[in-house]
Amino acid sequence: MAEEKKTYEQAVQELNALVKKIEDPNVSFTDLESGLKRAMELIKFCKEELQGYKEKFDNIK
Amino acid sequence: MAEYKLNMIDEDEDLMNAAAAEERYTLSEFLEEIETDVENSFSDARWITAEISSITNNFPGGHCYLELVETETGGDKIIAKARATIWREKNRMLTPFFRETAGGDLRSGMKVLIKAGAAFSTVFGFSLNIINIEPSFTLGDMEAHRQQTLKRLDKEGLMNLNKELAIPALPCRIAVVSAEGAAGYGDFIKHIKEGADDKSHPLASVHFKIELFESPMQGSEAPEGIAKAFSLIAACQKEFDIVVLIRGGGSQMDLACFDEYIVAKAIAESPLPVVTGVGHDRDIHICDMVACHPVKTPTAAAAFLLGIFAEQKELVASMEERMQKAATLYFGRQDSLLEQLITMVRATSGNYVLKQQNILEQKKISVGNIISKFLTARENEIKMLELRLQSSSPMKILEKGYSMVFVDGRKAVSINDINDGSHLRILMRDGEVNVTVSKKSDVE
Repeated sequence: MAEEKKTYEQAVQELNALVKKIEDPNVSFTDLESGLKRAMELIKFCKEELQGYKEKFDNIK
Repeated sequence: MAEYKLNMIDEDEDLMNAAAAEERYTLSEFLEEIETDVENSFSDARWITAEISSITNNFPGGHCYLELVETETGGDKIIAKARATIWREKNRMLTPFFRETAGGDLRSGMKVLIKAGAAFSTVFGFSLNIINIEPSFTLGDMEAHRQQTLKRLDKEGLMNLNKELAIPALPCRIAVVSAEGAAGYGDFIKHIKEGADDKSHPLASVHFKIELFESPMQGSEAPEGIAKAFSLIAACQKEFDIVVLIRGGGSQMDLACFDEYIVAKAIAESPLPVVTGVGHDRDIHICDMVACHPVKTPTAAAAFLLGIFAEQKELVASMEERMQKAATLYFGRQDSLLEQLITMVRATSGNYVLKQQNILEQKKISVGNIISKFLTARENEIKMLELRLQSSSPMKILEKGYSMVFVDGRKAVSINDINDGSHLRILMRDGEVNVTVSKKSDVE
């Protein structure tokens, strides 16, 4: 991922926006294409982040 | 006057004449006649009661000479008086016999029952020749006298007077009534000194002041002497704490003066408490009965005084011990109290820590729950977004055999988006086609 310093919250925020955009019936082809790609990346990032938190949390417990 | 003189001469002459007419005796002739008559008339000895007014006993080697008197009943007037002798042979038996039976020697002032014959000597005159003596009479008389004295003391309220005085806590100024050379006095001083010199004895530090008030301690002069000594002490009573009357043991008769009224009265009326140490164990005298604290012997009197100091010392020591015990107990109690407090504090703090740990644990659990929930929610959120994305993803639609139509770069969902001659991009599963619309028609 290009921007390393993106936080989870920012990622989710962006993801939300992307999903809304993609769901929009008037979505442009370019937006759809790039949006999809970006969204998949963000989902992956978020899942990894969450997994990291989970592991950290389990360690604390 | 002349006439009187003449008469006197006449009388003398008459007497002279009369004497010339009668038979004349020499003194010895006359006394010899009396001697014979006395011896004939009083040949049998008789039992006689009398009081000895003076006595010189030359026992064991010699005779015993006495003067016997009888006084008027209830008075002092002498109504009879005679010399008496116990001859050496009799004296050798009678003196020991009386001493043994009566517990003492014959002495002046004593009432006696004697068996005596009358004797008359031309040189020594009339006397009694004592051949026997009954000691029990003397003892009885002494006892009767003693009882009388007791009754009198009781009547005069003197019996308990001295007993009511308190013996001071530390009597170290001692007035002693005794005889300088008496064995009893020596014993007393020796014992006190030993006590005071003994470094281990509690008295080591006590300085005794002992002053002797001398008096004869036996014989007829003793009662007066003792009474006088007591009055001297009373005169300077502030200088003393206690009076000690002591005398070594003696025969019952020797100690008879301690039954005398004036001695008992002197003791009873003493302003200082009196300790008596007179005679040996078996002797109980009237002076012992009236004294504040009677003991048996001079040594016992010393021991009594030493004992008072020892007692005081012990008292102080026991108080010290009690105080120490109390202090130890007190500190022990305080210690255990502290210990309890420490235990309590420990328990409390332990409980506190435990409680805090529990609270923390609970917080941890709830925080954990919150985090778990939070994470789960976030995961769900992501999943939801993913699902939404998937459902919106053209790939899925295309996979199912549908196509997507774009006109001028925009998705076309209605024929209103399309006009005749519009250029469309149609996305299909495996590629896209570009078409131009020739005719559109509404679906009915």
